[in-house]
Amino acid sequence: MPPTRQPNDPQFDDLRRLLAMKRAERPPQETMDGFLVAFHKRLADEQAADAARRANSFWLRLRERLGIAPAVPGDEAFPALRRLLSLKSYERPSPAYLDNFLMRLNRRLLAEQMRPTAFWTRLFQSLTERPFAFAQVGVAFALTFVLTIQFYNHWPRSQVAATVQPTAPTIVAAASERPVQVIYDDARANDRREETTDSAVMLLPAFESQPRVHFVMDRVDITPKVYAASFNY
Amino acid sequence: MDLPAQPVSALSDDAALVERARANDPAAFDELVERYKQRIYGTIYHMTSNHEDSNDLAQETFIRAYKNLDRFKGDSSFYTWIYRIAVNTTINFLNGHRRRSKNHLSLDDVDARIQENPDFIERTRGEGPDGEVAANELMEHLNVALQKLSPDHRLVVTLYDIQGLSHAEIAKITNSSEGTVRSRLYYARLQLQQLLKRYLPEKN
Repeated sequence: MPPTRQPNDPQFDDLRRLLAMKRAERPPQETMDGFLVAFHKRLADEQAADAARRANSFWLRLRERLGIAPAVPGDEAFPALRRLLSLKSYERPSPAYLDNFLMRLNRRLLAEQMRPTAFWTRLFQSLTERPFAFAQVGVAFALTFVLTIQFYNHWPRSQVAATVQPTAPTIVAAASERPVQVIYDDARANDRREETTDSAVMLLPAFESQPRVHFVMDRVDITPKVYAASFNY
Repeated sequence: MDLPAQPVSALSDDAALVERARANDPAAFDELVERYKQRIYGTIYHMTSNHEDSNDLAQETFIRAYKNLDRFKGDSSFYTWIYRIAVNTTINFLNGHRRRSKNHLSLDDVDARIQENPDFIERTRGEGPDGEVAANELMEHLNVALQKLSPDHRLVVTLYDIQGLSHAEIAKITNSSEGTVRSRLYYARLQLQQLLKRYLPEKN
């Protein structure tokens, strides 16, 4: 069993004396004076933030959108707040501002009428004024896109392949010592064999730091559907 | 910037003015502008808390209305229609503006009559003798608190508690249900109650 140390163990005396000096440390008076005010302000902010989180919660907004908003207390729950907010109606623009409003509006209206508006700008403006129409156009675009992709994917491949004609391959390559042999595997051109003195030489730029490797294509098999190439290193 | 309910005669006047404006009578549209400029500016200002932005957006609202007069079918009142344009223009601006930079708050003039309002006197008691300073400070606090709400919540508070519109009118303007308006109003007030605690009695 390990020996237990007593709190007043003399070996900690120095440390205790040192820590006791911390007791003399006091926060500035102004901090303490304003503590309660700051506390209430922060508490109010936190509570307002909580209320904001509840007010903006996804489910509540969804229910509001769907028109099934929860039943809530009415005006009677906030009499003092309502009276306070009504004081805002005393805030008004200066009379001079309202006197000149019509003149400034007519000037701006004239300037707007002189300026030609692009079709896209008008379309966007008109759609943003009607969010529902905007959503409908968006859904229509998305549906068209999906249908196009689906139609393309389900288009019979044989019909596409049927349009492919077996033609001689075009080989663009630098001259090489090794000849390229082109073999047509197509049944209709099976007996055609050609040899060319040109070669297909491919340089792989990814190996810049290494010695360059030359790949010499020596065989190209062609069928109406599949093109396959093999390489000799 | 109070918004009293529209009398029937005013609504029918609006319809006549819209017809005349459509027939290229500029004076008719000017009359509509004169009629609604203060309320439209007020709504936008309470949403943005910035005089320059409100100025621009109020003008933009009327320009859009003028350009789209042909599309106004008369299903709703002109008053609802122009409000809807103002609200959409402002919310689009706020959504874009929030990404670009922080709002710079500015103060409009505060009507001196606020100093006779019992609610103002009660809430600014003990804040010194200068009523104008107290009024400006109160407005600044209200603006800062409103700016902390999301645009949707700020809008319903502005239209209901400040401008005095009904739930039904706000629902029409915002293209939503009355239940949605009530819900947004409730949650907006919950936030404001915390943000404006200083000006509210303890029991509230």
